[in-house]
Amino acid sequence: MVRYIVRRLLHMIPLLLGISLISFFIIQLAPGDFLSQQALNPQVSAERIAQERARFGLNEPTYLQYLIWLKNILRLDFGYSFAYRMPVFTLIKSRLYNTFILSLSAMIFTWVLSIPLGIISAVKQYSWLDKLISVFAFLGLAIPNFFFALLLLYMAMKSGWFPVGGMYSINYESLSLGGKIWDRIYHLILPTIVLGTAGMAGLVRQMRGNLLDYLKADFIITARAKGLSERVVILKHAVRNAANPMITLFGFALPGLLSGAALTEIVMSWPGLGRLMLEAVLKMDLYLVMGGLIMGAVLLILGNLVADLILAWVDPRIRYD
Amino acid sequence: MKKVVNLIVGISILLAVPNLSLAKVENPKIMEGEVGKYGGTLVWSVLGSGPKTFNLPISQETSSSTPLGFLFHGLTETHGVTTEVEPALAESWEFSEDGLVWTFGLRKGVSWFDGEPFTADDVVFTYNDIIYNEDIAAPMRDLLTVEGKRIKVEKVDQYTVRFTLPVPYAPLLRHLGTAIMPKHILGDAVKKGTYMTTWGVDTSPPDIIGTGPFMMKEYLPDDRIIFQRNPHYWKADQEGNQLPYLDGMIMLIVPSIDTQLLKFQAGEIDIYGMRGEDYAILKPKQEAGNFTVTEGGPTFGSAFTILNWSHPEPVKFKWFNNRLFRKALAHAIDRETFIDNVMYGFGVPQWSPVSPAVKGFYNSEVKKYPYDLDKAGKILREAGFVLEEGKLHDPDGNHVEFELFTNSGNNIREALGILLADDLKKLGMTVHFRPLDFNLLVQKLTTKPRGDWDAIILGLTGGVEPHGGANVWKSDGGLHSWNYDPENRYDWERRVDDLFNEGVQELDPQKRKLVYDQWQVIASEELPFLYTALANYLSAVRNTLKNTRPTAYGGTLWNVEVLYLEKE
Repeated sequence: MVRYIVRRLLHMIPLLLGISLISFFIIQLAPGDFLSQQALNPQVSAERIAQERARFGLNEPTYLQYLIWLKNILRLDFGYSFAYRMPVFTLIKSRLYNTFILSLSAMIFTWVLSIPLGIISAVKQYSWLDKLISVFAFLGLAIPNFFFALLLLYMAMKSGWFPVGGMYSINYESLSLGGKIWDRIYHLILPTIVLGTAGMAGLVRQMRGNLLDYLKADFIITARAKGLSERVVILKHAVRNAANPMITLFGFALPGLLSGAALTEIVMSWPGLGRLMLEAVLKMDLYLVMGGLIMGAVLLILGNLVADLILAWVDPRIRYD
Repeated sequence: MKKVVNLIVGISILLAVPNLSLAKVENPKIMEGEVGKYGGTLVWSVLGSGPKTFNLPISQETSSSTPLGFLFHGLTETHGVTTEVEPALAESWEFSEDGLVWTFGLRKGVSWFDGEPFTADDVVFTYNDIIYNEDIAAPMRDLLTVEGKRIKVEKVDQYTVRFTLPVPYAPLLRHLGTAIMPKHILGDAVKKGTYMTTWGVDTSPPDIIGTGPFMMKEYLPDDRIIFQRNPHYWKADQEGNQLPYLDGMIMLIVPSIDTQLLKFQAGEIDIYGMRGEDYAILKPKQEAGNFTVTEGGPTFGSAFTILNWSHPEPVKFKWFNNRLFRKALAHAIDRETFIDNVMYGFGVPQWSPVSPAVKGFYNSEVKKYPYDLDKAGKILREAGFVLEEGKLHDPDGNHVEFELFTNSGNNIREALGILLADDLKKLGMTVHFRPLDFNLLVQKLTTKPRGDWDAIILGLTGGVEPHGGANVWKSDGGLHSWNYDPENRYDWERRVDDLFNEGVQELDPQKRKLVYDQWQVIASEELPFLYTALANYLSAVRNTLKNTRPTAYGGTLWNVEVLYLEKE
């Protein structure tokens, strides 16, 4: 098992190299660079733009820029953001926590609701409850996130029941510890609903489909014949098997924890990583974008590894050598 | 008993402290406005993202300069309503007969946030060690470089500074509103060469030391900045009470304007920068929401369509360089419909490079081109263009067809492009309107030697100072976008060069106006830019905030020192 893990980790290296190389070149292919926005500003002279371009190393040939970036990454130096003139690592770190709690909250919402709803749908196949659950799930999938966020904010404004976006209240500092925790949760509710419902449809239908397959299996008939209660039959025997593909999906969902949902963060004024990265891409803040991409790539690869390991742990039929 | 006496004495001293700091200032600046009440926290928001740096002299965008503007002052400042230059950290000045030597008397007794005194050393440090420092990328340097030379800045004594210019420079006083930085805090960084990375957004906010009305208490990244009153502030109200009235402010960073509108209606923020489309929503809610919608005059800058006079294709080269062709195009822009439909009625047609908002320089006596397709058609016929089966051909028989670009994502420009392409079709032209990604547009504009574009709808920001357009209007300017060709220079362009060179050195405001008046007339005759329309300034402010005088130039917070909150 250890050998397997080591082998997977070694695979990461060429993978990351390839990802970073392709990403870097694709970014550079887009017209202009970070300083293009200054080009049409009457207050900025051409000399100064050239000076800045040299300072940022943007006038070097592309492959040279990539090699310099690579050399720095190997020393864990993610470089500087052009816009902020700050280390990329520090910048990402400051937003990481915000995105993490939002994504975690959305993930918990999605999974805690989807699994039971999927099970119910499968067990009561074709009943009105099954259809209702499917309708809601697909609605969540079909409505674009930013639009749903805006609708919820409008409802919040009209009713006054929820804050209109933001991560904490104006008077957050003066609250007690308990007050602070409640304030955070209060602000998490609406964005969680937006992001949580988006992912539900896939999971609910997957769970439903997997379970339906297993409910027809021979060993389920045997279990029923043995006289076990329906609950034990479904939950202990069928679901446990049906959960396998879900674990793989869970592994894929892990990197999503830190990628952030840019549009939702923008509409809900959530100071997260998604917003930072979207702005970086639009501005062509090269090193910030690369930093985010590498982080996402590493998490994706590790997430897959974790998913595979959990699968092996849960399902005795799967063994790696 | 002794304890009670001590307590009373202690409290009295504490209460007297605000006015104690003011007492140190010999000549506090008295601000206009009714006398207000102390206390309260104003909550407002900015659109977009958070600041990129806390170092004002190297900041390049409003996301940084807007919040930092509350922490710093320059030698002068500009009045938000009259747009005139007033004393700030300099309380008086005089200049020599030839306009070359300017001597500024600094306000005595002003302290930085940490209590250290503000002196001439800070002024000299800011100009010589920061702005003119070759190792520091300070945008102000370009604006303070006169005929390629720096201005000599010298300390005369503790509270007097002398500026010696190579030639007279009319924009000087306005540009001296640039922030003064504390030498005792930043001097080291300049010496060590680390200035460019000092005072980044990871610096502890209370460490940013200035002389402005507010200091930063806390910065929650991309979320909000919490400001706190400066207890050493050097301005007072009409009765001599120290300003500002507000205890503090909270500036929320809201990336989406729709969210901003909702927050304003929910009462979470008290100021909202309105767009034309918001008027119908907000105006009827004024009473219920306890706020007031203000319609100000036109905003600054310019909005236009520009043609490529250096076009590589000889056919298009001929059309775009043909003044009659341009005049016809100008008559084909339906400004009124554009203002009504796209700006919801909140706009004015533009005829001059200077916005009507610039009271000191706007010339209304320029040539105007009201929407008139018949007249446009007549002018084209006069120029030898022929309409055949609904298609327009030039005197050589070529069909008039070209591409019209603008930057994608700007609804107003995109709407104008569609309108214009449609109107030009009625004249028989075929116009392909395409919104492009901004960077791509820039690339097309800057492709040497003659650009890769036909016509573009664009806009430029502008201020009160006409010389701010020098880069655009002078033949050697970096943004002389319509005509790249150094061989193809018109007499009128040389005339404009002369006018700009004359205007920048003319210190008498009346004479200066006459110079720029001529420029505006030439611009309206030769039409390098086909001006379209300018939006009007709109704002919504909660009624609990008093003393507000919102304008296009100053916004709502230009006189934040005298704003106060009153619960009704």
